[in-house]
Amino acid sequence: MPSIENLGLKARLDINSQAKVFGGFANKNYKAAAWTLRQVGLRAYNQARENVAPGQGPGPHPHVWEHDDTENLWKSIGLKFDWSGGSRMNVLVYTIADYGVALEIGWRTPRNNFFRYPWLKPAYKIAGQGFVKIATDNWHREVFNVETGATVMTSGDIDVATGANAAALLKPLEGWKDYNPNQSGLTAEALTILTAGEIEPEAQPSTHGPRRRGKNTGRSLRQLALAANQSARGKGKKHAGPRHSAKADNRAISNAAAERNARRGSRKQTHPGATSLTGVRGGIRRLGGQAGREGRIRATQRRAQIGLRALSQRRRSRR
Amino acid sequence: MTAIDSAELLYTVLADDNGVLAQVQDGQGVHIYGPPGLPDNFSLRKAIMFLGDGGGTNAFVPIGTDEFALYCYGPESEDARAVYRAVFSCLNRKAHHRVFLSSGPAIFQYSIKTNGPQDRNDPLEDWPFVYVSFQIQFIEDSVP
Repeated sequence: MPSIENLGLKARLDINSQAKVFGGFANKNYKAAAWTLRQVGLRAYNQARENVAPGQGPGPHPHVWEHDDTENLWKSIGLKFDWSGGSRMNVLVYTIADYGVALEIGWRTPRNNFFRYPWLKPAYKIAGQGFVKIATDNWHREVFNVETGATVMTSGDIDVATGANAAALLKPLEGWKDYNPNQSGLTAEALTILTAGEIEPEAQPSTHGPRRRGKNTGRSLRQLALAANQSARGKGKKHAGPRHSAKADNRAISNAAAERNARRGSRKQTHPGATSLTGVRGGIRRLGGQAGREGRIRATQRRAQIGLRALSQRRRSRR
Repeated sequence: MTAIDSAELLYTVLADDNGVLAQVQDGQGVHIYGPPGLPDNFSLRKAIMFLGDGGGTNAFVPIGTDEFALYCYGPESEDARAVYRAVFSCLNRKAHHRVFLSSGPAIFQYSIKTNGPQDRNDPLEDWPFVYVSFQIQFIEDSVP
């Protein structure tokens, strides 16, 4: 059973033409397919990063925690193009930040509320919907043999993620020799769980968004769990963490929410632009200065407390 | 002609399936929950929760294509897997099926698994569940 501590997430878009190899790097079909796939992947990559840009996405608990946790995720998103010969090439948008998995799939709270913030799946879907447009631009028209406007429009409505619609999506590839609608085309596979280290990240230029000032203190779920484990070892107990009641949980959450609201109120007065549309500018302004640093430290301490509580709860349920 | 609620459609299809019912029905009822999710008094047992997960529309054919994320819960991982298998048997490649909804007769056109299964544990309380997503296709409006 995989656990959340060592998981990541990847979305894969691939062109798979089993009946026709791509030739080589100088082959025009290879060039067309590779260029197209890179464009689609880049769109998914950019959209995914935009979805979790600091200040844009929620914290692990949107009603208690701050937005700044998404910075680690934002930085960790990678893009990898892969073709090792043959008939299939892939582009992966991935992260090995376990926090990304939790956001994408969601989590249930002890009070049966369910939170989630899908950020990768919508990104690659949006990118996939642009595939036909990209594939039919300029000289790729010849390779993908899309001749009529009607074909383009029909295919343009296709959701790339869905197998059922894949046949229609394959239309741009129909001109290929030995075309087989059951075997070739652009398909997508998203939300695949990967183990950390399965993909070797390529160096990604951090060209999106300005640099943030200050030291990042955002901690992922894995870091929280590790911190809790270390704390447990320090106390010399096998099962660490205080026993507590649901009432105490609620009280802690209420206190945290009240504190959050108080800080939010003061922040609004100080930085009226903190909730800008993009969130990036607001995030930077919000985090500047001594007050911002203190707020982040408090948030980190609170996260650690809640992480400990989650761990003790998990252990209690195992007994 | 009334627009079809895809969540109601999915619920009806699941709740009509004997294989699914064998897993998630007990003395307290059928534990299939659509949006917004699990009820407040829910305790860990075999259950299905599903939430809408986006979708698209075909410009020329009046077929809706909505995607749903399904969370198959169970007291143990094996139980969650059993629920998932029932869901898979019920939904995957299910074709042209007439169902009756509150808005009138509807046509469940096709469905296919698009992601998963992924064995997960709830990060807060360690509840095991299997995540899977399906796309369902259906005639957008109720039919005569």
